Amino acid sequence: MFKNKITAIRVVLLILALAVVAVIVASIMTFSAGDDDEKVKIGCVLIGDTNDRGWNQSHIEGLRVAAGRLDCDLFYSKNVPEEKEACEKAVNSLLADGCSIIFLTSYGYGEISKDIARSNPNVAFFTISNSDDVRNMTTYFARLYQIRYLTGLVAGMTTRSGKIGYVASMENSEVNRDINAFALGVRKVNPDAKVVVSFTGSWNDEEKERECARNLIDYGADIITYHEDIDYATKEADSLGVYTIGYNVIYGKYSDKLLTAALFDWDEIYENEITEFLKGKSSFSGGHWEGINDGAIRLSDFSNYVSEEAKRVVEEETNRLNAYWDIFSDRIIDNKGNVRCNNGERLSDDELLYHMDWFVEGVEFYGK
Amino acid sequence: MENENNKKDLFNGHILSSIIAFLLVLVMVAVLLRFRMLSLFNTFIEHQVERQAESLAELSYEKLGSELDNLQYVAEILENDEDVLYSRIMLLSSPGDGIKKGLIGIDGRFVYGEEVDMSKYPGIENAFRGERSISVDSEGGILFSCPVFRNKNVHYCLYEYFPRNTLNERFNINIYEGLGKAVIITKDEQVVIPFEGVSAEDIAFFESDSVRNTFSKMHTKMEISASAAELYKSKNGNYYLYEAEIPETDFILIGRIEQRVVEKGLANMNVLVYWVFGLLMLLVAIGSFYLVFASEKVRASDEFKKARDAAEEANRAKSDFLANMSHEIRTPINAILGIDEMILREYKEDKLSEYATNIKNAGNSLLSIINDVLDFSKIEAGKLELSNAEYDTAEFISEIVNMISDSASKKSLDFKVNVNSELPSLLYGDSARIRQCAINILNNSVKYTEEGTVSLDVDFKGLDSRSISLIFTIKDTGIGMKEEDLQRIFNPFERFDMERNRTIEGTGLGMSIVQQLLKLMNGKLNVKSEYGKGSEFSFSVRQWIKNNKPTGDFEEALKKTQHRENNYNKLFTAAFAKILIVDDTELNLTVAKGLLKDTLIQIDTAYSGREALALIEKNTYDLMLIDHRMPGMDGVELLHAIRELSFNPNRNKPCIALTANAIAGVREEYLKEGFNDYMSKPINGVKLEEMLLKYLPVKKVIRYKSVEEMKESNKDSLGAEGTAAVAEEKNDGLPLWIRTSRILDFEAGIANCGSVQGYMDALKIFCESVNQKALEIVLYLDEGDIENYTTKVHALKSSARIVGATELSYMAAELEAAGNNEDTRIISERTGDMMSLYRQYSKYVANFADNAKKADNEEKPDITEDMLKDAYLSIRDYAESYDYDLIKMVLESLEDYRIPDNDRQIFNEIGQKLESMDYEGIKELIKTH
Repeated sequence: MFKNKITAIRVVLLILALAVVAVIVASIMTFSAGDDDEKVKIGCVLIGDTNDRGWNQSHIEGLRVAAGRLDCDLFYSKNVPEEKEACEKAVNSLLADGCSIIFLTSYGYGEISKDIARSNPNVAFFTISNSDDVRNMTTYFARLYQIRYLTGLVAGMTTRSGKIGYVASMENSEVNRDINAFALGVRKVNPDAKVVVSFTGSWNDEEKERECARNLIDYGADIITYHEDIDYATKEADSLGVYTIGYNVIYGKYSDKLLTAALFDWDEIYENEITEFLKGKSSFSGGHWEGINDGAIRLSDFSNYVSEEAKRVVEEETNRLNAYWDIFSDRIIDNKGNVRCNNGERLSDDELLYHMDWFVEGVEFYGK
Repeated sequence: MENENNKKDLFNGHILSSIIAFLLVLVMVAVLLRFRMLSLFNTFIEHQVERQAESLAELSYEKLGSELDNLQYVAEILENDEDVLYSRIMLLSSPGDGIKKGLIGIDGRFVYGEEVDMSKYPGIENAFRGERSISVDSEGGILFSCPVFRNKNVHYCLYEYFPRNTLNERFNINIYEGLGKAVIITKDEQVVIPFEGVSAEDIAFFESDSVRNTFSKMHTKMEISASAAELYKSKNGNYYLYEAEIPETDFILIGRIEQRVVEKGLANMNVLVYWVFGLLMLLVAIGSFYLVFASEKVRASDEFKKARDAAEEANRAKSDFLANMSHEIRTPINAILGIDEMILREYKEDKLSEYATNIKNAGNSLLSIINDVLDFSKIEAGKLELSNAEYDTAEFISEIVNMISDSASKKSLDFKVNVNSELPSLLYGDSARIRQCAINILNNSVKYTEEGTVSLDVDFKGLDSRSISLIFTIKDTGIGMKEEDLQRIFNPFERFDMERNRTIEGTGLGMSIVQQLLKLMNGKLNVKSEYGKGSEFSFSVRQWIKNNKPTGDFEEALKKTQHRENNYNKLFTAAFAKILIVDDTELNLTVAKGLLKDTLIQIDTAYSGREALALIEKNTYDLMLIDHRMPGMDGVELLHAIRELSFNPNRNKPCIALTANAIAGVREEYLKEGFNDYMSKPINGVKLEEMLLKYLPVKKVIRYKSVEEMKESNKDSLGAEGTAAVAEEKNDGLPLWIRTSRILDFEAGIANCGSVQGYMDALKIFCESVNQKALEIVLYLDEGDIENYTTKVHALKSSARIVGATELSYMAAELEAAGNNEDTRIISERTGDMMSLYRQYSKYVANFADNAKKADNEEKPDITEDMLKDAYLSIRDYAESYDYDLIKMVLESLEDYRIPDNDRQIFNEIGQKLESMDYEGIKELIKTH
């Protein structure tokens, strides 16, 4: 009995001693020269849910892939409305998680998050909208307008009514830029065609979006495209047997009347952005705006309704884009008759990103 | 023992294996530390080199950037003023070397200058987007590009191209030795700009396969970092290779730096760390060893402590056991011996006396054995202390002789005693312990001597004027001891030669006790012995002289004591003494009462402390014998109650502890508790009487002269008129009613008044004044005049104390205190009790009257008319001057005469008035006569 007790005590002591040695060894092993080994934490603010089969899902999926490739941890706040208080609360919770890089994935976040970005100068904020006056905030986006232009070519060559419906959320540089690029594409091949835009005033309003799509169709539009978080407009049009042109990402089933789509490859975009950030190379003086040559955006496959002629024109124009030409160059006149660009000139990125508050010739507004 | 060694080996084995394990762990930790430290150093240095590379890249960028700035400057001029375009560009041109400058429209048309292949330079596209940049071509030429705006839109791209061969000259960077060699390369690992001091050999080094491989690995690192560095080991030496991106370009800066250059100083740090680690480990090792040994020590001392505690516990258990045993054995012996003593006293029948004597001897023998054991325990516990006192030398030796002579004569041994007649008659020392030594040795001698002689010689040697060395020598013709046994006799419990001495009783403690006692008294025991022939023991102890008068002939003294011992005679009678015996055992009470029967002492008994306390509150005792161990309230608690209970008449009366608890040191404890003395049971009749004699009030005791004393006095005069006469003589004419009174402490009264007569007079006045004074007290109380009431009670307290009305005095004192505190509750509660007691004294007035009459009639001469007249006049004069004493004296002197009843009455009244200080009343009385 006594002996057993002694043995037990010895065993316990031995285990304790081993534990102490293990702790010492572990602490020596984990001793590092700095915090380099700690994983970078990425934060992300989403306006909707992560499974919305639209904008938010495409972002979070892209981020997951990128974070996985670069061995970073990912945190997100979802369903955050574009309101200052809600946005700051979401950012603060990500900061509390230790995030050193935060992506604000909705256009409206940029403006309302500037204060909180200023008060956290050691955290990098990435927004898809204007960021030029905050030192630690930069814009990341892709030149989707280039693809919009190409889809505009398809639309211009496919329309019979000469009216192409465009359901959009609200006026801002991003939306306007895409509308203009699309309209330039349409008018390039079909100078009389009109792009009829219907603003819903929201990034996500299913009823309104479907209603706008129907209205535009009723108005005579025979092709519908959209600029919203989720593809309700084109889904509605598709269900009505109207041609559609997709945007951002394709979730769910479409008929063959989906002519083509302007798509983001968000995983590529995020991987590039995060890599740059980790290298300490992220430039916070200008935007990171990846184009058709960088693999961040692409045109989806054409449907059978797209003519060979259209395909040829698209190919031609794609080649031009690849060869030191961009859409917003040479003579451009807005829908009020002002000359926005002369021959031999080109709009700078700065103008495209932050100052696109006008529409090109051929852009009309539904109901106006 | 073997087991012990095994344990030790085992323990040592454990220590050894622990140390080895500990060392192994240390070595492991050290090795780990070394590797980890090296890798940490490496990482650290790589970081440092990376930072250097970055700053070098920054430096390169500045050089390149200034060229870009120049270009932008020109572009801005072009924006504002296209007219100066050509001349400006011409100005910028530098001759030859393949340097190209030009302006490209947004459609890719070369507006001015030498054409370049646009597809080779992405910077041109950047310019069209509004950004300036640097791009490199496959041949290693670089092109600076910058947008030229018109209004807000981009109009041209301005460029300047430098072919490879011009770069070295233009963008070469001068770096100091500490940063080693560096070059700028393209992402295709093409050397673009070699830095200064870079030889062809160095470029060959950078372009060698193994170096390229290392850089390739580093490129992956570059994915998440702007720079990278790595240690590269080669035959020609170890280098840190580094690379960094040059901002706004696709260029990479690469370089190498010698390891020893970077690590200079770090090696010292390495050494320092090893030293510190080594020292720490050494300290830890020393600490561990210290702890191991300290814990071993602690364990040892723990064990020692445990053993000591156990031993102390055992010893205490032994002491307790002995104390209990002593109590348990002594109590029955007490009873046996006590009753036996009564038999011896009361029945003189021969046969019965013989049996009773046998019982007494056996009992005493048993007691002595117990005493031996107890003494031994006391000595061993170091609790035996000497109790020095004055003693009569002859008496002391006689006691020894008396105790031995019986046993000697029973064995028909010749017991010779020889005492030096010059011995001082009174000595000071612990006679009891010396006696114990002598008796132990003598008993031994008697025990081991079958025939022949046992002799006791008592001699002395003067040490100085105040002390002597008392020498006892005991010789016998007994069995003797072998040489080798001589020392063993002092071993406790050891009885040697068992074969031969089987029949001899004893504990085997005797000689051991003797030796210990002598040691305590600074004495020494010498033993000489011849086996089969006999032994001689001698010891000497120092004693102090109290009276140097020689003892004289010892035989005489011996005879006296022998007589006294053999015939019991009561020492005294004390019919008026009252004592209380408290014991929970009825038998003990019976024995005690029996032993004291002849003394005529009034004995109250109580079975418990509570019962005793009740008696004590009511009665006045001259002495209390209190047993220690009683259920409920024990003797010590009872004593404390007696001493603390205020106003009890026995508060200061002697209390004697009476107990069978005879263990070492108890006497001191009892005295400390407050007992006046201590008696151990069984009660020895003579000792009890001696104790009573010591503490009973002298006045109450009538001492009997011993037979010898009576014989002496017979020779002188009267002849045997009997003890009664002697007693009567000491009685001093105190009437029996006073002696038997329960409310009078006559001896206190006598002491207070100086003589029996004085006491009688005072008592008489006291008793006669009772009625009047009682009335006064009651009246004052009724009127609520507490102040006068208190004064009266105060007077009563004093007068009651004087006449020995002790209890009354206590009560009066209590009420006086209450009066002073104006505590009417106590006054109203207790005055009644006091008054009833007080009034009891008035009944004694009659006794005085009888006495007076008797005296008057029988003895006193008639008073003359003149004397009577003189008395009245004197009293009147003295009353004028309020002289109490003189009036009192006159009244007293009148007692000696037969006085006519008429005058007697007047004198009595005067006496009463005098007691109440009523001098006016006295004068009035005398006037009327």
